[in-house]
Amino acid sequence: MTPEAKELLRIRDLSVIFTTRERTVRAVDSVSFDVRPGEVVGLVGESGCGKSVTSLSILGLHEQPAGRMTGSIRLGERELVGASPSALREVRGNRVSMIFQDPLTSLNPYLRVEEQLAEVLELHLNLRGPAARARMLEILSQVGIAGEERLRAYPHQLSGGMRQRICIAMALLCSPELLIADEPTTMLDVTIQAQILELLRSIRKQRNMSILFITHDLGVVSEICDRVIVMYAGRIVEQARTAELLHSPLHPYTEALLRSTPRVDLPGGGSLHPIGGLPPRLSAAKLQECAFVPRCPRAREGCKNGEPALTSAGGERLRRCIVPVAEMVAGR
Amino acid sequence: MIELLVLVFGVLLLGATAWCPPRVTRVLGALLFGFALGVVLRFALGVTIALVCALLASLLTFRYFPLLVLRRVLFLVPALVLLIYATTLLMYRAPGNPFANERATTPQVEAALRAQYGVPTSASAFFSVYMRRLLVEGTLGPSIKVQGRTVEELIGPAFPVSVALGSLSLLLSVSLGLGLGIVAGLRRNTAVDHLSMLLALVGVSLPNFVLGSAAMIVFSLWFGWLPVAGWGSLRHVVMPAIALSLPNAAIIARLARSGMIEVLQQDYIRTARAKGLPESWVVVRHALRGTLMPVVSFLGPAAAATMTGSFVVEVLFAVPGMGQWFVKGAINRDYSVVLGTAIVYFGLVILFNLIVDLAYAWLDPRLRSSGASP
Amino acid sequence: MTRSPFQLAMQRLLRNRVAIVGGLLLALIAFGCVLVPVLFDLDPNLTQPALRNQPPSARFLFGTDGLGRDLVARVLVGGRTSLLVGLAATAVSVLVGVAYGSIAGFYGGKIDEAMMRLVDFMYGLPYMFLVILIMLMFSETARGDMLPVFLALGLVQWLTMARIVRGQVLALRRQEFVLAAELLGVSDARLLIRHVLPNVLGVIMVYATLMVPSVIILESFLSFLGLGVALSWGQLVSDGIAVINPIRSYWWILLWPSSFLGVTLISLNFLGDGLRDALDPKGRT
Repeated sequence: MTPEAKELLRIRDLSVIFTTRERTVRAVDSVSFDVRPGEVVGLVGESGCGKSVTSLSILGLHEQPAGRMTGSIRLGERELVGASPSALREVRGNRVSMIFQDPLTSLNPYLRVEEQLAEVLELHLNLRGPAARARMLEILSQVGIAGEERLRAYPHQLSGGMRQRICIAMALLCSPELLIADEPTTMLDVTIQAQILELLRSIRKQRNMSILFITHDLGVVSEICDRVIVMYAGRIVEQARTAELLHSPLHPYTEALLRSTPRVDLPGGGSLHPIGGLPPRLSAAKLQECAFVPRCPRAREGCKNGEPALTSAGGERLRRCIVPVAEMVAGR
Repeated sequence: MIELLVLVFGVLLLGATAWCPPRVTRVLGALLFGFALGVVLRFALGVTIALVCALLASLLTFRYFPLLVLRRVLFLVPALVLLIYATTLLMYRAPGNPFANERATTPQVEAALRAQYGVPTSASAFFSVYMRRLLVEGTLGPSIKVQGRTVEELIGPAFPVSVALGSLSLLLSVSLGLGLGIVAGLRRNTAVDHLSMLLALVGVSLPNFVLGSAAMIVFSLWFGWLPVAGWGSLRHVVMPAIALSLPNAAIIARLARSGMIEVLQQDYIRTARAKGLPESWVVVRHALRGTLMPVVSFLGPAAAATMTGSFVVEVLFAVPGMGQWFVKGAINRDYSVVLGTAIVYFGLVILFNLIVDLAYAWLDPRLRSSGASP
Repeated sequence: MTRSPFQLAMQRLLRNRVAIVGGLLLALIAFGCVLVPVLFDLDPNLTQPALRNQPPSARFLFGTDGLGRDLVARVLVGGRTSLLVGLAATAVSVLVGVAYGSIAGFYGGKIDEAMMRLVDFMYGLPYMFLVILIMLMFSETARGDMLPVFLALGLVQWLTMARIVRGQVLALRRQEFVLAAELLGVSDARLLIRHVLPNVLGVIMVYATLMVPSVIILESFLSFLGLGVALSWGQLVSDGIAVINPIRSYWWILLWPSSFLGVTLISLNFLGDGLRDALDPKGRT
């Protein structure tokens, strides 16, 4: 993955605004980032920070009534914002696939596994009958599910881990270039979580597939992501390679996130350091100050003079904070 | 009142079937199903063939029916017997008896008549005579008022008429209701939606005889397209069937609409779209199943409602169905006719409920293995 | 300034114009049926053969029927029966259904399971059949005696109410305020009546309002078939249909009772729907 490699997914100034009768919410505010071929990018933040909305925007999967999207999402040569429904449908499940948080509700309880897999093959690859079956079995074995009985099963007859594997298999059927994974391990217990992460790692390696991994769990990030983007209140606040971010965060929010992770390695588990306060309500108005100010331990006068811009911190690192780098690194 | 106590005891016993263990339920349910089937088939096919079919049916249902359905059979077959008993009690409680209006009713004549027709003075005695006649001799008994005819001869020709009217109207209800409801659910909060739901509201608010008489006036008297009343051709069937179907259609439309709206919010619909499926596939292959569930649940009560409504519609449009025999029988205190029609009606509704249960289990694979009720 | 859930619901209801119209129409009809015959001294049974089958006029606003009876009187007085039966039978349904459902929901477990199994199984059975039978059998002696009608019709509908109440009580039973009261030693009966049921009242009102039209329709079936105990709209519609013929159309005999019946039922449904939307806009019940 050289820096000059052409990016697979290019998002520029993406904003998503939802309008209801009571209020207008700017769920995503001018978000820009890239995903390169074969790269695993993590999208991290608290609930409500806009990471899920961002990921849903790529395939245009917002719940109706949909939010208004402005900006640009480019997949290779193709522009996805404002694309026609049929153009989007051609991309979905085909060049870009998505898996979700709850594998039980994400699968149709009334249909057998093979029926749900078959329709993807029929639609995108024009495969039916024995050829389709062969492909299904091939992919299933790649995700670690053996046996034809699984194909005839209904989702409720399978365990949680198996269901997520099925969802992953379904996403891989057409060999997509990008897999969007929206908190795929959150609903699973820890041992299964590890298996699924291992599975995703091996698939990435085999196919040189990119993954956009959305999560709130920094532990998971450390296991699988090459690069991490931290979001807060609908905007990007920091971006860095995983190791750099975890060892040397350059934004107070990232610091606080790291600090709040429960530690099993400290005696007694260490004490818990939650981030005080609540995330802000996202109105459509422009912010007058940095979004994190009310909860920021490093806040100072300058922070209230309008929202800081996203600045470079060397290499590909970006940060949205006016606190000097030296000061952030000093205390460690 | 011993008879009332027997009735109460029967109801409690029915309730107790809830605690019946699965194995026992399966065996008893299958046996009862075969038995009931045998009794019915006997009228059409004779004793031996009916017996063979009954045995076959028992075996097949034991093997293949979902536990849920067999549980219901275990409840419904005894319930049917209990209902017949209750009907008998009711009839005997009412003032008057079949022989009170005869001209020469001295006690001896009455006693002789009673013996001839098998109508003892007590309800329970009549019940046992009736059941024995039904199960052993395979007949619904002689009609007390219509000389020389058995009940099955009387209601035989009327039976297919009522069944035809009822099933056609249910079919109409489901098609109209589903069609309207699904479209309304897909086009939520648009003009189509509001209009459909307004139509549904009107359909559920007007009794079928009001709608029927309006239709009669408009289509028969003003336009002359359809015959006013009677039976015999396709054109006779149209208005009664539609009048009977509209209230149920309205309710089904509302159920289908809310079902569709709820299903469309499910995660698996999002997954279907994420796979790139065209909207038609999403609706037909994924959303439809879930939408049908509340509608299918309603079909049981819908059948009962259709049956109730059919009395009125048959009177309004002069359709020669079973309703007239029931009413005549009750007025004339012709006990056998009343019981005969009651058994047929109850049996039809119960049969329909069982079919609905089977359909429900088939639609939702999660119910097939367990014995849980939906 | 916070408002109670009741006040919020009332606000939502008052914003629902369709429901308000329904409520007003209903009030109008009720007023008409109950008070107008008294105020104007109208007699539904006064036969005046010389004036039979008269179309609507200044003297007879709704016209007269085959026996020369004033249709205004007949429709309004008939309305009393229909409305009364609707209310009374629904009351029976509500009482039985709430009692049954709250006991099942409150105690839960095996008791609930057995009670609800019974309800589930009884759901598809045709009670109306038995009701018709009762009416047929007792129609001679029962003239004027409405109690059996109320009871019989009420018992047709209680299953739905029982199910709904049971669901609500079951959910509320586990709420903290109930468990807190229980820990304080409040008796079961008091818990149910003073703590749980007041929160279910809203739902009960909604479904009671929606049940009244069903009962009125059932009663109209009975009187249409000639089994009614007193003059009611169903019988008047039957009278109207009986005189339909291609030559002379006495449309007014059919129109007025049909319209009153229709408008009453539609208004009840609008009101019931409005109540349901007001109480639970997200449709969670």
